[in-house]
Amino acid sequence: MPNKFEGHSFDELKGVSQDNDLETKEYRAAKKETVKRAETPTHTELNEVMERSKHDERLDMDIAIVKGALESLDLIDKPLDPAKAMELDEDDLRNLMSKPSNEDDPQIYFKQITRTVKKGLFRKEHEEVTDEILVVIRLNNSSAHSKKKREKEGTVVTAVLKQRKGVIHYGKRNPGLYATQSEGEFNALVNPPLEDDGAGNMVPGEPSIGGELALGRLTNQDYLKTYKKENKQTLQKHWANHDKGMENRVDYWGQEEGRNEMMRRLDGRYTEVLEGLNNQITRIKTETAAAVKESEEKIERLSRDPAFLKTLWNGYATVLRKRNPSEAELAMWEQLMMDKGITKEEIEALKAKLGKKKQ
Amino acid sequence: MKETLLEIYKKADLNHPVAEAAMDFIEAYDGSNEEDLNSFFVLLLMTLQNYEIADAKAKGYDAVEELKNETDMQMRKIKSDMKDLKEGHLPPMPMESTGVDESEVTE
Repeated sequence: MPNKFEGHSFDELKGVSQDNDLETKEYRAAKKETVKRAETPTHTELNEVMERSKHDERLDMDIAIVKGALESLDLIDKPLDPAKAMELDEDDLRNLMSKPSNEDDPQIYFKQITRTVKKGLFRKEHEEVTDEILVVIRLNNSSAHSKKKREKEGTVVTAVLKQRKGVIHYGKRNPGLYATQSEGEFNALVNPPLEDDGAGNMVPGEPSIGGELALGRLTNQDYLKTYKKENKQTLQKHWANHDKGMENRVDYWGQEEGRNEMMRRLDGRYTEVLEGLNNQITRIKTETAAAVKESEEKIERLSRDPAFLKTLWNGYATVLRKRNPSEAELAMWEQLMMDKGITKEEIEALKAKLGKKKQ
Repeated sequence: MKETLLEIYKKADLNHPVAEAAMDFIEAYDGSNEEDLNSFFVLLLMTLQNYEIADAKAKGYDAVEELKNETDMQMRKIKSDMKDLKEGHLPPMPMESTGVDESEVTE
């Protein structure tokens, strides 16, 4: 597809956007063409259009790609056929882009999404299979031999969709999450860089929320909740801001205003983490102190029980009567007795009576 | 039976006077020595009482440790996101979403 922005300088493009004239006839036609031929352009071309599209238009493109891939494998309204769509686990997903594909057609992979739930009297953790699946579509739209180029040109669509009896429910009427990325971007999400663990060891970093999703760990709702928590706003709000920004600027998020907003959100996250830490520490300290106090009170109650004290006294006497009680054993008993309010003099008196002297 | 229990205690290699008392008791036990039984169970009772306190403190410590690791992780992520933004690298776009009522998202 010819690139409609080719030959234009950034200033010219900016001028176009500032005139609020992005939705020209020509531009709309370019987007329509991209949707129509979603399988064929390289990711670089697709991305050019996506970067300048509003949420709804991006969704159109995502859905067109999913539909195109399902059509090409004759899987529309049909259960996923293992011969056509391979089920992957997390390790497979991490290695998916490590080798070039020999296919010319799109390939579909999926992973059932499970979630951990606590059930029963003892709140035991169970893995529960949800009705949502992660669908990964590799478009194989790059013919490049070099890995670096392929990572830029190849497109991967990731989607979290509902399935019923193995049939994928996609489209705007069904709840779903979609992202169109390059092979390189997908690979970076599922293979986060190594991080210092704080003790000088380099360990695999924790995947971002996008990585967790691309590894099939999050349901639709899980993603939305985590997104809201991490970004201090809903995903809906993010796209509303994005669309509003797109009306005025070519690349809102690339502008200072967009970056400043992200900084504000990060600052909010920082404050929230610190406040959360303080609250949690206070909660743990209070709960621990209450548990220790409860145990100490139980001990205290028993320590005042005459039957217990008599038993303790008899126990010590039995040890004193032993032929060779060890120093450690004697010291332990004496400590126990003193802890229960028996005086050193009383202990010495008992020792004298039974003829044992602590050395 | 007594030999097996003694063997197990030896293998456990517990460096604690209660373990020592337990072995003494097992060795001397003949079914009639009630005083030894009394000593042993008093010790066991008090050990369990102390264990309860130690356990409560250990759980608190573990919870703090877990919280520390979680916070470290979150802080590292915030730090790296801040660094990326300062260097002009924008985070990847989030997912596009259809048909979900976000008012139900509570957190």
